[in-house]
Amino acid sequence: MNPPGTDADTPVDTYMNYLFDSMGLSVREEWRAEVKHYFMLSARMAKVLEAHPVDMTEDLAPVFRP
Amino acid sequence: MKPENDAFPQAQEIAQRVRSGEWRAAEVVQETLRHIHAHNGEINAFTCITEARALREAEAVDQKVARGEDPGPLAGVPFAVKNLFDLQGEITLAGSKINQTDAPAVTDATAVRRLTAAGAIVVGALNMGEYAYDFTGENIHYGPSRNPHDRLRMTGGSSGGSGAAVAAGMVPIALGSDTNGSIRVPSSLCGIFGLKPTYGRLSRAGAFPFCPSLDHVGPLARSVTDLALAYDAMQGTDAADPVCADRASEAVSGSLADGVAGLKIAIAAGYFTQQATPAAEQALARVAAALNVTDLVEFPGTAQARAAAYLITNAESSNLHLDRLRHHAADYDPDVRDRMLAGTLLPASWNIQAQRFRRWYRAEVLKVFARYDLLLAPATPMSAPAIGQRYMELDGEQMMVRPHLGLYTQPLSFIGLPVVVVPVASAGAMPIGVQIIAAPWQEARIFKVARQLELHGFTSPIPTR
Repeated sequence: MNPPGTDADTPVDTYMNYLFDSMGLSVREEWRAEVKHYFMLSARMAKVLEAHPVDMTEDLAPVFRP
Repeated sequence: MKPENDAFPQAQEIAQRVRSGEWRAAEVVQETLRHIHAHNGEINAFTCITEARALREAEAVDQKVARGEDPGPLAGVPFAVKNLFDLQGEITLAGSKINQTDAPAVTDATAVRRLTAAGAIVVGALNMGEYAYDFTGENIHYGPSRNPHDRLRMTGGSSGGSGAAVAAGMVPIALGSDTNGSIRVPSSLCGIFGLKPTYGRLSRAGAFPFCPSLDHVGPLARSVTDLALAYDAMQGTDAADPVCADRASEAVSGSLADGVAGLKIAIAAGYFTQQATPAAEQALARVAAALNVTDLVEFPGTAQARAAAYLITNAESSNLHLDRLRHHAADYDPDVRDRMLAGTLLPASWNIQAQRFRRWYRAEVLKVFARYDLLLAPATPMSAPAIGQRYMELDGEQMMVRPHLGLYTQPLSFIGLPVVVVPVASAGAMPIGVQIIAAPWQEARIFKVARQLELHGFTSPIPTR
């Protein structure tokens, strides 16, 4: 079971708690700082990606071939 | 058996001598096993040595030669595979502790089967970063693979054992997998040649997946000829891998000596020259000078491509591992577990945007390939970091080694381009690699240039013992 949230939790902690519970993942307290660190790294990557607008009407093939 | 030109026998020479009956495959394999047993303790490349199978198959090759039958183009050539490839009768570890309780593989992976059919002899399975989520070659369960050029330094990963085994001369050919750079990073750090073919060129059937929309398999070798021989033997369509393209084999071994006249080559600038250490810059400059390449070409969106590849990898691999994370999270390497747990949190929108960007970036890069046949770029921003090193400084910025060592490889596998890493060695320094990149399905062009560079002295350095 994931540790209960505290008043000191940030919105990211709350988001993590919600999702881990809903996916049936038990994440130990001592793992959470690194998990959060990597999630924030992904968030930075998403920010880099979204800085470059692309055509949102582009068809997305389910299987990619070069 | 004594090789002619190198301290380590090469696949081409072994096959020629075994085919002619001058050498016996059984002797080649026995010598290989002796070398592995003598040096694996220092290098930690092998996690399993398939001694009985190797000796049995070598004997079968010798019997074919004795009967006057064709033993295949790789007759008697020892090879080893990253331990995510299925080997019949062995457990496919994929670098993990969790898989230790899996049933042994029932059949060989397609790539293994094809090399074996060509007469090559598998001698074992190789260390790797857990579940291939790694650029370092470190593994908490089996210990780090060690760089033969400096055993206190990383091999790079995740095909770290593959890089180490080939660089140390334990085997002339090894197989690895490359999702974001896992063949190319160890090739660069260990000073050998490595091929990441076009996405869909080589069958991945029987290889434990990491991120199926980005996974590739390919060979690592100490010479271009050996790399080509292995690549040619593994080509061909395979219904067992839905991504494997329905294309006839396009052998490259016969055209290695064709030269590079008429090929238009440019240096990939912009993103690919930022954050490089002087070692990476100098390696690229030396390769460019050897090929008389001066054109610089920049294409937009490469930082975004790398970010998109990162996000797809994070989302897709964590989905693949979701059930294991539910039941065995404590048994993962903490670095892998924490990244995968983070991946379960990614909003779908990020992953979809990353896929959308993939198409856009592919179109942009193909415009460049309308003007140039090949591009050159560094393979890694630096030579091998120390084992255990968590951070590296690039362009004044502290960056984590594990997720960022492949920052030059990741945008290219993202769109499935074929790439060969060529080693660049300097006296007193660790080797480092340069990527030769082509448009999809143009591996033959890369091989010609790699061979030309090899003739110019860009060869795999022999480790000092």
